[in-house]
Amino acid sequence: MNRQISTLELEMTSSKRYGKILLKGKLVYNTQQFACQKIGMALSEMKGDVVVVDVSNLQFIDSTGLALLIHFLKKEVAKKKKVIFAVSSNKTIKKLLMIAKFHKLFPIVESEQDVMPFFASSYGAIADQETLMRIWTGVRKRD
Amino acid sequence: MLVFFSVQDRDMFVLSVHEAVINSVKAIKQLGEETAKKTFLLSLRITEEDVTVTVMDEGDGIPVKQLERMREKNLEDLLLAESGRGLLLIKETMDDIWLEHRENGKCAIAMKMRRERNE
Repeated sequence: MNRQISTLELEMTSSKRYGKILLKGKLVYNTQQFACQKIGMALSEMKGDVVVVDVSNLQFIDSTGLALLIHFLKKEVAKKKKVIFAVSSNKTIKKLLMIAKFHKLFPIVESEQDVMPFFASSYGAIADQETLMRIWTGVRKRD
Repeated sequence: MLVFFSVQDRDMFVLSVHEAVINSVKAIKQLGEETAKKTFLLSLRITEEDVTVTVMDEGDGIPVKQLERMREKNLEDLLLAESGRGLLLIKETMDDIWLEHRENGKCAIAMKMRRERNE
């Protein structure tokens, strides 16, 4: 019998201004341990102050996956050197992030390209997550 | 029997059922090696108006603390929490959620979502 198993893949890339973690597959109860290990390793290897978490290729995320994102957000913010964006062109995932009120913790952008102009104008001023959210909210209001 | 049905929000319906099942899986795991009890029951009641899903397991029921949290809190209250969103996600995305106390002393999670209207 062909059994469908929950899987998760992770890719990591770095640019001059930020590191990106791309998550593919399912960030759920079954993949929790694997995801925790992989994301933890990726973040420890990542250089720079800003992390973009791209969830646009996630097929599914549940409460366990959401909790994991919070776990790493708290960890990175505590280091005061990394800031997290959640990127989502995936309507279902975006809807879920909004329901969980994650837009109050990190900017949720449609695509990675949306991050570029923001960085171009504000990069130097982003000291921590709180500042990031304040600047981001201001930019959104202006738009 | 294979039955097709539509609901108002398919993705959120799937998420809510998933959350209830995960809740049961966790409750069963807490029983340890009592293999005979490692089952849960998922039932669907489909009417013209809505779909009701009930998930019941052989675990020790939902902890009182978790129930209180579901009644009193919302997802914003748990913004930085690393657990406890499951029932709140169901509460937020389904039209209704309630608990059913069964004769055997067990407790089932029941939830309802309206059917999609094809005008």
